[in-house]
Amino acid sequence: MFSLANLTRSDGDPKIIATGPSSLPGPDKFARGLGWFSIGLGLTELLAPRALTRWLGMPGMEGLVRCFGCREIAAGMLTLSTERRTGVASRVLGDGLDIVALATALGPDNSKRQNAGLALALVAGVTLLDIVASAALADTHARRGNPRDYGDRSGLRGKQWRGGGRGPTADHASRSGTVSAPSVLRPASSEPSIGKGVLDEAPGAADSDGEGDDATSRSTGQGSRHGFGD
Amino acid sequence: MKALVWHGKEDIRCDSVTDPTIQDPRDAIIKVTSCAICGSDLHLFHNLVPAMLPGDIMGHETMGEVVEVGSGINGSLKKGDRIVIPFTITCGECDQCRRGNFSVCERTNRRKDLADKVFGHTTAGLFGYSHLTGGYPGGQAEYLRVPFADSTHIKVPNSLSDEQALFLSDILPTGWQAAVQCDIEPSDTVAVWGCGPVGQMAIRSAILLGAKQVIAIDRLPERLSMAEAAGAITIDRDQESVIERLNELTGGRGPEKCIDAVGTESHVALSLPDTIYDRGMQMLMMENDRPHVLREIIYVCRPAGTVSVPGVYTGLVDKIPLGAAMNKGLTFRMGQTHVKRWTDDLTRRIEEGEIDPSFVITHTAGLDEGPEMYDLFRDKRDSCIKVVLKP
Repeated sequence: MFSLANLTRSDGDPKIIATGPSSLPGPDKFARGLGWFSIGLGLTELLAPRALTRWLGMPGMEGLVRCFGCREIAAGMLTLSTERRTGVASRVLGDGLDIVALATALGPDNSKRQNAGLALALVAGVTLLDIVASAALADTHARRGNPRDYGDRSGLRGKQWRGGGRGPTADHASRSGTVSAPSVLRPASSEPSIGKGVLDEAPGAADSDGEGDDATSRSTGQGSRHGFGD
Repeated sequence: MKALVWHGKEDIRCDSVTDPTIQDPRDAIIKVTSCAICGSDLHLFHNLVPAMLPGDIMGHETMGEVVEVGSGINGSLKKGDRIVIPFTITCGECDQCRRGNFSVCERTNRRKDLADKVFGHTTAGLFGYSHLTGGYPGGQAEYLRVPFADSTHIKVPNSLSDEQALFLSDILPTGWQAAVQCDIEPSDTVAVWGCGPVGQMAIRSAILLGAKQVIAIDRLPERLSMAEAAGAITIDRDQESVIERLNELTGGRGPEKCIDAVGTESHVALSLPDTIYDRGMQMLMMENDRPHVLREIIYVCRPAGTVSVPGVYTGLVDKIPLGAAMNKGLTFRMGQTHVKRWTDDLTRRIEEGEIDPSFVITHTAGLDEGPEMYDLFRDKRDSCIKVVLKP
């Protein structure tokens, strides 16, 4: 398989043979499409407002069209970013503004009211797509159900902590004689113990290895006291 | 082989790619037995780290079995060895490596030219973490080429399972270094912002290093429950004011030691106007990071306190109250983790049962499910905190 990405690989690095499904869910891909559409429409409104107002029969509204163009570009950027849900929601709001503005062009005095009606129908269709995309995004990324309780995951083997402890030991320094880290970051050597606390068994918690006393004695071992400017 | 490949923002795919081969006598190839998705992989997922290119293989938390070694390995590794791969690639010979500053190894970044321009001086090569750090293929794959393999490995004792050993590659030493950098005294209150995997490890490290009290700050109940399980006092930032509560817990003085385990992607909320400002600036490409947590820490930290930053920042930040930091005499310590500085000690602590890092795993999946796991982890759906992938 030819992949442009393979052109940037260094010699000997793995190259793509076949590609798999993307991590980007369907609603996000769809929303990205809407984002690019927003930017395209916004650029058109920003760069060719006169042609648009002439077609819609809304002369003198070029300034408003340019403002709408800026709004569309901002909404597009937001929709293409990771704040996609906010971006699509802002598009729905923008659609509302478009509908109100176009509705003013449907009066009998506008000879291009048919064009305005067509534009209104298009905006209504896009609004529907925006609403569907917004709902699909919310559904895809929702945190459902109650959060789990990880209250049994101390990582300290069924023990709860009551302050104190011990610092890094001399092990690393002694095994790696060539290490000369800055003193404040260096593993402690033979400095006095400062750890006064203990790793106590939680009430009712089982000491899975039966080494509760040993754990207590370990916790009062080497300290990590490093004075500033050590 | 199969590998998780970055194709663009939020677009990761499980692709078939060619197998890695030995390119240098100091290389080794491992068959990956377990790998994990790191919180900092989400920064790549969101395309916030400069210099990612489509086709880059993700992953820097990896372990496996050696299947091939280069001619220059000198017996330090052999086929069949079970090893964890530190996310920082280290030569073991340069001046920085000899000083123990492994994450700023001077020789392993093969895009040194780029790093010199952007950072001023190069840092170490990293697996799967953009071309700024070498563009090395990452370990979310069936096989991984390990450059400088004679130095870039941690041998795993047979007594430890993959789940116990895997996090020696990154999050355990990262949380540990974050706490060690705080220079914890027995009278200290340590506050940890962010209860993701690194935050959880930092909380436990601060406890083991003897803090008087550890306070965990997050907004997700499942993460706060995991922090509480270790004995931390928790603050739910959606329910209460972080600053008021921290002052209340410290007699109005503020925590002496503050750990930012959030980094570049602070949660954006209407109640935190600066996060909205940052997000806007990010979208206009006028700022790289959202440093809300740093601002909050500078404000609440006790004068003469220490700020430790294991959370990843990627570039330029805006509106940092440096005046407050300077006048309060705060000490800042940060950096990518010098993984191998800590792993001998941490391996022993795991072996002795002092800490079992597998507590953090909430989801296990196959490599082909990786793309949807990225999406799940990003959304924090299904109470996801840590995903382990089994190729």
